[in-house]
Amino acid sequence: MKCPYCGGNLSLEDETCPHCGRLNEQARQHVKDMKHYKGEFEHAKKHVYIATNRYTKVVVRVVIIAILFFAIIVLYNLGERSYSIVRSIGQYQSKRHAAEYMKQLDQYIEEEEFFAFTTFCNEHKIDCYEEPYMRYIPVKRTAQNYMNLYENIMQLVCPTEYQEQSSQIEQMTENLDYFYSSMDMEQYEYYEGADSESNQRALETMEHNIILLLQTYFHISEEEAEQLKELSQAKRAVLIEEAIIGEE
Amino acid sequence: MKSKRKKEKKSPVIIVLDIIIVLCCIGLIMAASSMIRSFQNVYYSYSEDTFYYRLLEGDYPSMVRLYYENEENDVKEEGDLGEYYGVAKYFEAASYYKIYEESGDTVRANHQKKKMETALKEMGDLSAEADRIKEQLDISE
Repeated sequence: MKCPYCGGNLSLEDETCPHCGRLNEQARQHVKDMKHYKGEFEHAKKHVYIATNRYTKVVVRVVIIAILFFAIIVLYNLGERSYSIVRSIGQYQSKRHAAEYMKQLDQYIEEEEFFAFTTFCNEHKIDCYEEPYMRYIPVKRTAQNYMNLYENIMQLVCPTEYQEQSSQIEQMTENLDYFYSSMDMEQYEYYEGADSESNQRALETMEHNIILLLQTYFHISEEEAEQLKELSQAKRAVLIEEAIIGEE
Repeated sequence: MKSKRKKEKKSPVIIVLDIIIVLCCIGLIMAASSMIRSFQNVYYSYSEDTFYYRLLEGDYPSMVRLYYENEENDVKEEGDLGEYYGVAKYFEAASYYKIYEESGDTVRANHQKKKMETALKEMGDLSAEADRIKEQLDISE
């Protein structure tokens, strides 16, 4: 553009003419307009920053809340499944150390330590329905019932004032039922190795011990003890009650 | 010249979200402690007090069960617990000793007798229970 006074070349950024020094009226308006637009730009920029900052703060908090919710759900689920988690870890370990554990179990059977056998299985979460422990199923099931029965019998032998005799007898006859049913070898025919000689011997020993416990502490005759297997739960309860009353 | 600083006012949405975060943190702590409690309950064990009260009642058979259940959960024999275990083992061995002795099975009877002697040593200050157990089971020797 040209200076209106001297005709020299001017640009919009020149506030005064570099040739004659007079004020550049067009530049003044331009500078004024530029200042105005720059102010508006800065104002808009500030608002964008504020809005973005606010939006970021909200998004960050929402993400934190989502993570916390997820963590809470995970922790509650872990708590609910604690038993099965521990059991799964135990079963995995029992498969890893199968040779060592089986050697120990065979030793317990050999030494007739049936309570220790049951404890060992429970401690190491041994699942006798899975290989390689399937062959111990008869002993495991029977030993658990044997342990319960032993406690019932001995609690009748050594009663405390807090235990009701009739309910103890009822519990004992129920456990006798479970014990005899767990001794039935037919149910184990599909489990490999379950019908081994050592298993048969173990079951016979446990049955023999139960008969000896009943004979020794309740003075039940050998015939009556042998018949117990065939009797109904009610008849067993009557027999044992009569034996205990006889003792008293 | 003092510079005027405007205090940045927190938006209500931010305040609500902050409150929710604090509540979630409390919830997380509760969930964590609930989870830890659940795992501890898997390994439930019986304390010396439980054994003491069973002994007081003369409930030797249940002491045997408590002993084996503690063994299942790998509870160490610390403090007086070892003595209570000794009582449980003594009772178990004595109950079997009697049945084998009376049935004439001397091999098994002797084996149980040895277990009684070992358990008696473990009973420590509770060794007086041995006589009570023998009296309860009517073991005369």
